[in-house]
Amino acid sequence: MNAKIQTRDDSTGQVEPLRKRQDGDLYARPAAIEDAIAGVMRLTKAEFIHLIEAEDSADSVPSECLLYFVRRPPFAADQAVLRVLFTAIRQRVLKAVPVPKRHIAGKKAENAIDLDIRDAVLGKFEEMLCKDRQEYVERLDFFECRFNAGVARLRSTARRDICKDATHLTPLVHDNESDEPHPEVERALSCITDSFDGPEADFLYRSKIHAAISSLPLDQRRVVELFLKDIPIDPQGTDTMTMVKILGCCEKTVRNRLKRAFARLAELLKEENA
Amino acid sequence: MMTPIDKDAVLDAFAAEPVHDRNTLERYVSEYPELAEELIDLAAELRLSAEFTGAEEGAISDPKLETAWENFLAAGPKPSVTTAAVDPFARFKGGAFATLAGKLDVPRSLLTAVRDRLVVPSSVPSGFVRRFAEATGTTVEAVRVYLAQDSQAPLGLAFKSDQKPSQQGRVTFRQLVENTEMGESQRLFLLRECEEHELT
Repeated sequence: MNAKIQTRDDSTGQVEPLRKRQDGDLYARPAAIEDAIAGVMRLTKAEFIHLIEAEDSADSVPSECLLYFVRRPPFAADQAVLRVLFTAIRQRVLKAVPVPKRHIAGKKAENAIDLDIRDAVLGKFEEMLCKDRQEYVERLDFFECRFNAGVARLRSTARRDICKDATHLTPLVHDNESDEPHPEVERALSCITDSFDGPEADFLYRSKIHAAISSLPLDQRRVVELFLKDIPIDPQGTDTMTMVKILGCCEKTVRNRLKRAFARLAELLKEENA
Repeated sequence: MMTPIDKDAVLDAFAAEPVHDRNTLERYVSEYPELAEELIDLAAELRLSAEFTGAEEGAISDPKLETAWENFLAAGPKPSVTTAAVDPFARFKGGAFATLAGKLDVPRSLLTAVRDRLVVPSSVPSGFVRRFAEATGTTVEAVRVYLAQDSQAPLGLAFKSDQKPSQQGRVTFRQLVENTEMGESQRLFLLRECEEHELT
């Protein structure tokens, strides 16, 4: 953390509490965020702007802290300061909506979906910020506690909405073409599970795998997600959670989705690696 | 049937979990089977967040920034038409003025200088402005606007002077505090406010 950020104990500023409640209790920011806010409160205007505009500001000013000041503009709501804050918080949203780099010729439609999702998330966030200037938007309190998780929530909603409209862009895979096993896909998927720490797990390689999964239709993406979580397909016991139970469809459907997903992933990874 | 608020609360709670492994997902899906698909979708997004957030270096192109900024400004509080015309001292003449000074715990002469806008507006500590706005039933914004207007030292008071009447330059709030007769504790309190204000 940047040296300029001091701890709450040294601060004379009062950090404004949140208003959203969960199970009757007020939301509380993590202590580290409260400390960061209290520390930033002690900066002069010049120091404040310098800190927010710094290239490495993400290391010293957490997004949750940045949002605090966007919602409660400091320095008598000085417009120049507010502009710096507004620009910075949009960058944080953009960076929290990854558009994985893909290098597959002729598949621009899928890249467009990623960009559409980013656009939709930024639009929704902007809408909340504008509304918050007129009446307190409690939804933003969550973002002040866990910014990236909040953006992930917006992303999830945006993807569901956008992918519903984009199903016609999904390439068809015929069952008879995907009957063969895809050990290379299983190997690739194992690289992005938490337990994997092999040499293949470099960022670029993992990025390709994440990007390929993201480009799958939602129903196939779900079975892959469950596969990544090591959840079995069929019932193996009454208490075991399985893909069949979770998705509420028959075993054959689940197997077909997984088969199609693996065939598509094999194709995508082949193109990526070509 | 689950209300939209419940659904949001469940998904928020899931998103806020420290880890999103098999156990966490199973726990939520068991408890909220009707949200299974949304929980899985969210788990996938959180996986992406963990991997990619902050991975893009440098600024990301933001072509809609200007429009968004204009919308943001337009949504903000607008100075009311009457703000410029508000005189926070209007209701505080004579005895009421003395009462106001007492309420703020400052000498009347200091408050007179503030009333006559003989103080550099930016040097007036936020704490004093806030207390003053509360005491006069106005807003911080209205007080700032009042202070920023041209000084209006009542020229009539200087009319009988040997010299041609003229407006004096403004002094800082600190200078005013330092040069006005008042109790030591009052002075220390106001100077501390000045110090905090100058630091920001």
